[in-house]
Amino acid sequence: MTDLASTAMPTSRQHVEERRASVRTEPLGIRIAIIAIAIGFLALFIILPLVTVFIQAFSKGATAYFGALSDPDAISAIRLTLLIAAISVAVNLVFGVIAAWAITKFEFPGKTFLITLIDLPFFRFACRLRSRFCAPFRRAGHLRLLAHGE
Amino acid sequence: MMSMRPAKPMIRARSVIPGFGLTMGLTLTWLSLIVLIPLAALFIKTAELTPTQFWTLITGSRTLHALQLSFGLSLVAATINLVFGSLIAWALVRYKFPFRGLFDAIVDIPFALPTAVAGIALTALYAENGLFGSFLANFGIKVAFTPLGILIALIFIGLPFVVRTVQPVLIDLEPELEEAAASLGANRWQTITQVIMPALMPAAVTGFALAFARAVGEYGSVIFIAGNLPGVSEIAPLLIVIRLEEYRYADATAIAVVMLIASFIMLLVINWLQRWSEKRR
Repeated sequence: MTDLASTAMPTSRQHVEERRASVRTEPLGIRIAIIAIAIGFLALFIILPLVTVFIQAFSKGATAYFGALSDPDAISAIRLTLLIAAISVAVNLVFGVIAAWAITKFEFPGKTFLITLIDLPFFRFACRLRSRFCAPFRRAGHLRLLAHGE
Repeated sequence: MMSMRPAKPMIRARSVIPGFGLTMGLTLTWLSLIVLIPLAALFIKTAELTPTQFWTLITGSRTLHALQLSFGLSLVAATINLVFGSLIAWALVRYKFPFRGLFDAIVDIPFALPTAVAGIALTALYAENGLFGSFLANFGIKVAFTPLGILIALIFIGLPFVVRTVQPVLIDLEPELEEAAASLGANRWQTITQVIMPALMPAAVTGFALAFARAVGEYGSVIFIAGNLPGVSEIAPLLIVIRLEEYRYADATAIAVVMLIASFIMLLVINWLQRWSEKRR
């Protein structure tokens, strides 16, 4: 009796697990189609342009590529870009999180107006911060943010 | 003998969470410095024009066409991104396939690639002697140096916004929700359209709005592929730059003000709709 129960239990649990998984997914054909569309779209709009950049960069050979890179003007431009990017990312990280806190934790008049001001394209990086942080932020407690914050 | 109750603060949220004054003050200060003061300058410069001058400038056929092109194509690009971005987010979260992590990382490339580089790469691909351009030319389709080329560039730069807003919500979606729907007799299609899609909608709309806002203001990647023919493929941001180079500053800011107000109203409506739908649930 006990033998029978102990052998029957795992099979039924396994069966339940399989059922649970199967209600949360699509038939194989649809899955493959969706993956194919996703990869196709990424390939068409992102990967191929990216590959083109690399092909053109190395079109005159690796020596020409590294020659262009070691040009003093190029070096100083790259250095400036990286420096400015590092500073602005740090500053936007601080103020983006502060703004996200003010927007998501409190209710106040004119909130939609403020969110829209932050959304203005001029504030592009904050947009990005907002989209990354607020989605988990908005829906649950601040612990979620710790789990998802990047 | 009525004791005065302390006046209720108008704005302070009755919340146990600290930091409203601090975070709000810093946000407004920062927003003023980065956004509001420069924008105020824009309006002050435009105020040099009389209302009639302003109206004549804005309704000129070249300006009007540029504005229509910018807003129309941005709307189309954001819609395409909404559909395919959500699909990509779904595939990345729900399915296992080879190089999934790589594809996930690639989504961020338009954020990182300088827009001018993206524009040149897209032009090289879609020009008539390019890989796609030569193929499409067989069917009589011209992409580079036409509005279609602008659309391609706008899709490129907007895609990550939709994927990256939908993805975290999809990851956090409780499996119990779908199981409950299935146990109540819903088929998979019903579960997706009536349970999953409403849950994803606020994030998807945010992604759409961000992709749209980004596309309207986009300059770098578009000018290489657009061909920039006045009245055909000239976008509004380019027209602003042209006017600046002609030292017609008031003309430039007038176009900027129209773009700003139009995109601000559209974003405001989208944000308001979104908050309304969240409150209703």
